[in-house]
This record gives sequence, structure tokens and C-alpha cells, in this order.
Amino acid sequence: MTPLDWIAVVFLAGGAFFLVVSTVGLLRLPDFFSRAHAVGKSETLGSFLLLVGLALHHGFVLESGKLLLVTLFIAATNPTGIHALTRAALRAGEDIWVQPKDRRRKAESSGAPTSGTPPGEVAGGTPGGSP
Amino acid sequence: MSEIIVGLAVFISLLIAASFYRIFAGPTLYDRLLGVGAIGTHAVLLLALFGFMFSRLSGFLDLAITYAILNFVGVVAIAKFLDLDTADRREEAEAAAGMTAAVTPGESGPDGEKGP
Repeated sequence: MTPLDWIAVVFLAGGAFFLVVSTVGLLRLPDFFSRAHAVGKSETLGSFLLLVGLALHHGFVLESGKLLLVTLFIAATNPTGIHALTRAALRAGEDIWVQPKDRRRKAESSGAPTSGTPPGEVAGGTPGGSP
Repeated sequence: MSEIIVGLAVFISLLIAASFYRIFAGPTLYDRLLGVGAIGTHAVLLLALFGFMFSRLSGFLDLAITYAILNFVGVVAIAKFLDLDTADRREEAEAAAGMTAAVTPGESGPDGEKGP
């Protein structure tokens, strides 16, 4: 194996690791948004490393340029597609997972409606346009 | 080196098989679509590895590019379609709320409570 092949093996191992991270995240995380975050980032980086490793193994010929084209295309489109999906889910009112202690605190604050935050604070915080 | 590439292809096939769990058991429609998108990206990588395994890299890379484009267009089109559905439902709800407010204008306002 040439030294370039050893570098390629390092890239392929990194790609395999991040693909495993993305699949474990897809299977194990608690709600849709965290799963989308796992797939959108780890899978993009994993595919990037794996395809760059294959291009390094193949050498500097025309097919390596095509592999880099696939790499750039996946790096541009995979997060974009998942962002579109996440935006659709957020606008459809999908539930967002919170930590159990924060969930209890939220239930307590909504149980006492008069002792909430004053409305001026909420109205001043939400637009937030002033620098 | 060819053993490494065959091993990676088997490995990615196992990851695809694991991702099918999210498609079958995903609690929402968006989870299933996320699984479909992840499997599409894995399939592009598998096609690139097939090009090395069968020594026809150029042809398999054309297939990989086509599959990546179709995957992206499919996911974005379905997400946009679901978003249009959400916008339609929101518009209908707003129209219904406006209609009930127009039917009973005097009773539900704060001025009606302050009057007597």
C-alpha cells in the first residue's frame, strides 16, 4: 500500500465512524428534531470523508473529479433537504422534546397562570430587532 | 485495499438495514421521511463503492450523481407539499375564527364586558 492509500484508509475509517454516529442518532434520539440534527450533520460529514477517501485511493484522474463532484453535491443538498423537512415539521406544530425537569417546571408555570412573566417582558423579547 | 472496500460496502448495507427501523416504526410522518433521506444518502455511497468493486467507476458514479439529485428533489418536494398542507389548514382555521368573530361582534369584545 502506498502512503496515499494509508491516508485514504484514515479518511475511510473516519467516514465509517461518522456514518455509525448518524445511524445511532437516527435510531436512538428522542424526538424528530434531534434525529434530524443527527442525520443532517453527522451523515454529511461521514459521506464527505468517505468519498474523499475513495478519491484519494483512486488517484488524480477524471473519475476522482467526478467523486469530488458527488461529494460537493451531497455536502450542499443533504443539509438543505433535511432543513426543508425540519421546517415543514416545525410549522406543522410537531412536539419538541425537553428535559424531564424542564418539562415539570413548564407544567408548574403553566398551572399558575397569573404568576407568569409580565407581558411587557415577553413582548419586548420576541421581536428583538434593535441591535 | 479491495477487502477494505468490500467491507465498507457490507457495513453500509448493515447501516441501511438498521435505518429501515425508523421508516417502519417512526412515530410521525417526518421521521419516516428522514429515514428515507438517510437511506438515499447511504445508497449514493454504496453506488460509489460498487464502482470500485466492479471496476466500472465512471458508470456507477453517473448512477450515484443521478440518485443524489433524485433523492434531494424528492425530499424537498415532499417537504414543500407537507408545508403547503400546513398552510392550507392554518388558513382554514383563521377563516373559521374570523367568521365566528364576525357573527358575534358585540359579545366577545372587552368593551361588552365593561359596558354594564
